[in-house]
Amino acid sequence: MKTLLAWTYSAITALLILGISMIGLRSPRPMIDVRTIPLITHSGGLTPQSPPGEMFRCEQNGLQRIDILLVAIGPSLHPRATLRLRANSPSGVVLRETTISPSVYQTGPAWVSFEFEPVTDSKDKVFHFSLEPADEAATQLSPWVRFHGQTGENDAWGDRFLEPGATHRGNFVSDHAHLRALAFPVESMLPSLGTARLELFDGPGSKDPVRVATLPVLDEVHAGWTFFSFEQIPESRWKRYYFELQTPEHCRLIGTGGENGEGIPVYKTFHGLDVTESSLFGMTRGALRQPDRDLVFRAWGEDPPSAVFARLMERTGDDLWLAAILWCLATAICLRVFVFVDPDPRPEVVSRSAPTVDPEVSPAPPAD
Amino acid sequence: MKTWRDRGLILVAALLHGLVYVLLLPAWMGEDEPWHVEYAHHLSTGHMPWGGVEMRGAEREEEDDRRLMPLSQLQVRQRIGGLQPSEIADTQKAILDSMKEEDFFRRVDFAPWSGGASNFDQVQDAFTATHQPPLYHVLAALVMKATGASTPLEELRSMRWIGFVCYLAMIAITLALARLVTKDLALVALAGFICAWIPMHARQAAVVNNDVLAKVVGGTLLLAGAYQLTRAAGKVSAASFLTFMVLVVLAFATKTTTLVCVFCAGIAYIAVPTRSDAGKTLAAALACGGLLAIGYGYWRATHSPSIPTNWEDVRERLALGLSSANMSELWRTSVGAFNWYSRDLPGGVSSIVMFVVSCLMLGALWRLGRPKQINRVMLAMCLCALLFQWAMIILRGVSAGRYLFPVLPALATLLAVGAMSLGPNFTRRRVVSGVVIGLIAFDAVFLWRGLLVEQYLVWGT
Repeated sequence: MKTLLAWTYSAITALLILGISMIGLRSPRPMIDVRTIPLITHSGGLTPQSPPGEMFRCEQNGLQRIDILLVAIGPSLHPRATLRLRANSPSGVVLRETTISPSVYQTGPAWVSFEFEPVTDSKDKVFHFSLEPADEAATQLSPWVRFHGQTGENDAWGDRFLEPGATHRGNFVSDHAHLRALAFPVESMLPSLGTARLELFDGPGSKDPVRVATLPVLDEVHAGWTFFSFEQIPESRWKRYYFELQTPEHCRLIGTGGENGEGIPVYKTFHGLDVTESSLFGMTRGALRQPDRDLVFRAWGEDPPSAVFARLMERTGDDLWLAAILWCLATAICLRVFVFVDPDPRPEVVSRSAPTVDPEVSPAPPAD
Repeated sequence: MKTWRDRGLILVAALLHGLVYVLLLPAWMGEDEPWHVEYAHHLSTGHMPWGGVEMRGAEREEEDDRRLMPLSQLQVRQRIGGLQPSEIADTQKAILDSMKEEDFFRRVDFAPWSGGASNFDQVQDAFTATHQPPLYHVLAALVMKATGASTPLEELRSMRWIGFVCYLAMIAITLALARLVTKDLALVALAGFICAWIPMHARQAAVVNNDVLAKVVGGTLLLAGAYQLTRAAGKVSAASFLTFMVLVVLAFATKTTTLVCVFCAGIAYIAVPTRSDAGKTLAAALACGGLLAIGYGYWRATHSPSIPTNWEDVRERLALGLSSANMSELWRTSVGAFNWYSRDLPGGVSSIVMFVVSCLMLGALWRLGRPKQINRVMLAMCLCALLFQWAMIILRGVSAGRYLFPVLPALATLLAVGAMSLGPNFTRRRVVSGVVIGLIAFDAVFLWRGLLVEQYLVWGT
């Protein structure tokens, strides 16, 4: 009877531990979560002329919060930033607007949450949000960008300004196939004041570029990475490419020192193809659409516990129930062995068959 | 908890516990699984882990072999003879397709982008499993053949059962080692339970990686060494020495992380004859030294990145290994990290575990000074094995918790001894109950709040 009781206690305790652990599963999680580590490219300070944004399709009803990963690129005291949520596209009707004063420092990136009244029937609808500076201090805040592709060349941010209005040259061996973009850090790039032009050649003396990329007028960047994207080159793996980047008079690239101390550009290369079946439709700069990249953000909707469990069941199948049962059985056995133990009149150390000698003097393997 | 029945129950519980992880760890979520499946796949198709084509470096660009194929494929070609470039490329592509289908890129935050990825360099640069000794992969190839696995996913799933068997073997080894440390059967059972319930170890029941075999070979070596230490002077038999030699060969054929276990067992085998016969000691030392030299040469020949190439390299590795970032990584990946170590345990859990482990280790050290019912020599050997393994990880310069697992039986025994040493005798049962419930709760948090959430609920977009 005592044995049965001990097993019952063990089983109930195992179930309790499992139940308490499962409570945590109920907490909501973002329906969209752009995850990328390490963060390698920030888009530069916010501007009212071409605010960064993103288009996405909502997978849940009750869209109520958008988090954006921001970093301060300069001293920024009590900045205020405004998020505008629109229907369908950058030109759609403004559905929600919220202004907050985010706590973001130069020490590292931080998630900033913009909460608003839930959009009740948001499921399967397309939305657009943009992030605009509400004051001067907010122009020192920069969101992060995930460009669609694997990185090849991956230089760090430079340590000096390069000559403005100059043509900067460099060459690299493309690590992967499908070369599709180069990104350069700039102090500021205002295409409306002059065009930057990237030409890519497949030989040192080649006259005809294999690709040419320029920046649209709205693609303004302040202290961030600017992307020159072009039609991907399928057979680019392990080929050497030479680039010439002509910068306008107002634009200073950020570079580093070469072998002889001269300033040379730093850059990143991106390779790959776009993926189908995504709920993200790409980043925007004002009215300009940039489908080859996304802002790093999270979107939250209504995520009731029943939906969380439904999602869990869909993704784990029947394995979850079986695993839970097996875990309870295993745990109950251990609890029975160690915790809900029968009172035992025998001494705890078996000494009938083991030699009663000091194990330090003659350490013989004892028998059970 | 004082009978064989209880230890049998621990093994049954461990079996069920391991199955839980087999069920819940999604495909390709064990670290480095694609590379190990690739290696075993090529062996299963009849190729041998030798006779490959040396690769030429980048001294002259036009002669650099990377123009022919990506580095990860060149490394495969370098090791395995007779492979056609298309075979290597097709295998990587098939595995990558399976990874995409199983949502690998939504789960692993550092995997940059799936679009257009067709070779392993686009997941992780300059990485391969083919520089590893081949024993695990030969075994895996045999399992693949036996199960008739034909797709990468089937191959992965069949290989995972090796991890499961190794997990159970480790618990049996821990029970046996703890039995040599003490006659207290409660402590023995507790050591087995700790080994089985350390979550990152239990997770290895479902992982495809040669670390799962390395820990069993390493643990067996420790056990063999411990048996030798229990023998009377001059009683090393030819059979036991032959067993040791076979184990050393298996260790060298499995992974470099077993080196400390070879060393510890070697010391034990040399120490026993020392007590009676200098000639035998010399012969044993020469044999051990010869084996170490052969093993080192073999690892060098297979381009193992674990082996430093010069003193400069050693200095660099030491600086890296002793850095706080490296220590922190070792702890993080020992206690709990998910999705290829890209996500961590819920906040605070790691600190609590560190506090408890520190208390238990202090208890074990205290018991070393007052070895009541404990074989002090054995306990000292466990401690040395743990410290040497730690030192080896520092010397390697790259940390992962699984590199500690070859000495897990020693660690579990130390923790069990520590638990038995906390507080006076009359509170012992309560302390043990507390440790057991605490470890069960930790496992629950790891599994249901950590692994389940990170693998199935938090998916990147």
